[in-house]
Amino acid sequence: MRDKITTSLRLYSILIYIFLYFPIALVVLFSFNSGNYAADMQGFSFRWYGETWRDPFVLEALRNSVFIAATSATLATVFGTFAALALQNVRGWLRTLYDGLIYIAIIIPGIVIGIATLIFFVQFFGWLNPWLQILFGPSAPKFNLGLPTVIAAHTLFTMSIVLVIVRSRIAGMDRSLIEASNDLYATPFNTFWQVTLPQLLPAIMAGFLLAFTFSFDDFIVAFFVAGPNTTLPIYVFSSIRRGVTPKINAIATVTLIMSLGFLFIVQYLLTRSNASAKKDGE
Amino acid sequence: MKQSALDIDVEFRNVVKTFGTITAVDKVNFQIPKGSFYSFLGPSGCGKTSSLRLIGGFEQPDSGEILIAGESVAYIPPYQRHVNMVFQHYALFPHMDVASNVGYGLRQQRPRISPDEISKQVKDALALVRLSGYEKRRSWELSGGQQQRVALARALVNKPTVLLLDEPLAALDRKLRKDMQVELKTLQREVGITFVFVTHDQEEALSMSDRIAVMRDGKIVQEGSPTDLYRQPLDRYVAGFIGQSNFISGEVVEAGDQVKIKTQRAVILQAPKSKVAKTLAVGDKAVVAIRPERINLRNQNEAGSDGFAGKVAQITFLGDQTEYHVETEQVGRLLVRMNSGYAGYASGDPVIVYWNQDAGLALLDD
Ligand SMILES: Nc1ncnc2c1ncn2[C@@H]1O[C@H](COP(=O)(O)OP(=O)(O)OP(=O)(O)O)[C@@H](O)[C@H]1O
Ligand SMILES: [Mg+2]
Repeated sequence: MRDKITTSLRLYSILIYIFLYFPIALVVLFSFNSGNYAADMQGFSFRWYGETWRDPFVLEALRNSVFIAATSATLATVFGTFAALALQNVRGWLRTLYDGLIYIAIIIPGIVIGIATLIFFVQFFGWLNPWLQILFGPSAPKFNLGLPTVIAAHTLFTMSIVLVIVRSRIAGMDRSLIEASNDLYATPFNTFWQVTLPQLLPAIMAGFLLAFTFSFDDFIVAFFVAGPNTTLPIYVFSSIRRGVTPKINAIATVTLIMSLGFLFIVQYLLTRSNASAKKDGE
Repeated sequence: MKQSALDIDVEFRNVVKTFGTITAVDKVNFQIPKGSFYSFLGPSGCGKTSSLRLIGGFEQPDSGEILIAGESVAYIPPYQRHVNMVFQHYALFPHMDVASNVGYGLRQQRPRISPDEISKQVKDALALVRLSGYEKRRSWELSGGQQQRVALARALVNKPTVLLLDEPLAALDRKLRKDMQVELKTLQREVGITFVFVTHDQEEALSMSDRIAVMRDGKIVQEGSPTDLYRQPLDRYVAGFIGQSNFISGEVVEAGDQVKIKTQRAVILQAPKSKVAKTLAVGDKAVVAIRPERINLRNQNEAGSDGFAGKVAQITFLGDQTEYHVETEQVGRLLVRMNSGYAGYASGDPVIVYWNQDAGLALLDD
C-alpha cells in the first residue's frame, strides 16, 4: 500500500517536471535545428546561432540589454548596499515601515511598476521640458523615454533585491570583528574598507548578479518605458508576432544558460558567505 | 602601600555605566598597578565585561573618570587608545591568514611601518605564542587553543600599555585551559605588559593574578591579592566565592577582635574578626566561616574536650585529598577536607569535628 503511494507520488512529480521543463527543453532542442522552421527538426547544427550573431537588430537589442542591465545593476548595488548599511542603525516602527516598503517593492507586479514609471516619466518630462525651453531656449535638451528611463525603472526594483541580500549578510556578521578592527587602531573608514566590505563582498556580488539577471530578463517594465528602443526581450516579443524562428530559440537558449549560470554563482556565493558567517559566530 | 600616579596603568574614579534600567557598573573605583596581572572576578552579569569594554573604549561611562597611564581617556575612541583586547571568541578576521591577522594593528600605524619590519615583528609575535610556521593558515584551520594564541599575538605585537582579556580561556577544554593558564602567566611576566583579565572562575583568578577585584551587581566588593582574599575575606559573599567555606550562622553576642557568635542551637562559637571588615556589633547577624582544610576529625573515643559530635554522611575521594561531609547535631552539616593518607573514616562512622579557634573567621552575614 505504502509502496503504491510512493510510486504514484514519484510518477506525479516526474509528470510535473516534464510539464515544467518539456517546453524549455524543446526550445533548447530546436535552437540546434538546421531547417528553416522552428518546429520542424531537420538536423543538428549551430546554423541559427551564427545567423543570430550576424543579425544587426539582434546585436543592437543585445547591446541595449547588456548596457541597461550592467548600469542598473551597478546603481542598484551601490544604492542597495548603502541603504542596507544605513538601515542597521534604524530601529523600532521606522524600521518596520522601511522593511515593509522594501518587500512591497519586490513583490509589486512588473506591470504595475511599468505603468507607474511610465506615467511618472511622461508627467515629469511633460512638466520639465517646457521649463527647459523657457530657461535655455529652443536648443535646450529634451527628455524622452529611452534607455535611461529603463535603467531608472530597473534600478528601482532591483535595488530592493540587493538591499535584502546584503542586509541579511550584515545581520549574520560578527559585530566583534568590527570592534576588533577598531581595537587594532583602524579608523572607522579603514575598518569599513578592510573588514566590513570584504565580509559583505560575496553578498554584494550575489546582489549584483541577481540584479543583472532580473534586468536582463525583464520584458514588461522595459516595454512600457523603453520608448523607441528595443531590448532583447522586446525584440523577441516583436519578432514572435512574425512567427517563431529557430533564431528566437537560439536567443532564448543563450539567455537561459546565462541566467542559470548567474543563479548558480549567486547560490554558491551566498552559501559560502553564510557558512563563513556561521564559523565567525562560533 | 601608597603608589605614585606613574605606577598606575588604569584607574577608575567613580565610574558608572547604565544600560536602560540596568546599572552594569556602579560607582566603581580601582587602580591597576603597572605590569601587574589584574583580574575581575564575579558571577555572570556582575559587570566584568562592561568594565573591560569601558577601558577599551567600546562603551562610554555615564559619569566618572577613566585614566589610562595617568591620562583621562574620555571621548578617545578605541582606535586611539594604546590598549588591546583579546575577545572572548577571538574575533579573528576570517578573510585573512594568520600573518595578516597578527600584522593588522601594525599596518594601521602612521607613519607607515615597512612591510619587512611588519613581517619580522609578526614572526617574533608568533614565536612568542609558539605558533612559528603558521603564518599562511586561515583561522578556521586552527584549533581553539591555536586561535586563542593568534588573538593573543595579534594584540601583543602592538606592545600595548594594557592588554584586556575577556574570559579568553572559557571556550577551551579543561586540560588545555590549565596549560594556557600557566602559559599566559609566564607570557605576562616575560613581556611585562599590564594584563586585565576577566573570569568567573575563581580557581583561574587565584592561580594567575597578582590582584583580584571581586565584583557583585556592578560593584567591587573587595580587592586584594589572592592570599589576602582567601585568608581575610571581607564578608560571606567573598568567602563563598573565593575557595570553599563552611558557614555557621548566628548572632553576635560579644564584639571585638575576637567575636563570640551564638548559633540557633545556642552554641557559642568564638572566632577572630576578618581584618579588613568593619567591626561587628552585638546583635548583628553573622557567620563563622571555616575553610574545609582547617577542620579536623577524630574518633569519638580519642582524647580531647573540644569539638562537636557527628556522623560521616558522605565521602568524596579526590586523589591526594578526601572530602568528608559530616552531619552534626550542634553546628549542622560541615565539609571537611583531609589528606588521603591520613585518616580512613567510612560512611556512617561516628566522629568528632574540631578546629582551632583562629581557623574560623567571623563575618557579617548578608
Ligand atoms: N549592550 C548592552 N545592552 C543592555 N544591557 C547590557 C549590555 N551589555 C551588558 N548589559 C547588562 O549589564 C549587566 C552586566 O553585563 P556584563 O556583560 O558586564 O556582565 P559580565 O560580568 O561580563 O557577565 P558574564 O560573565 O555573563 O559575561 C548585565 O545585566 C547585562 O545584561
Ligand atoms: Mg562577560
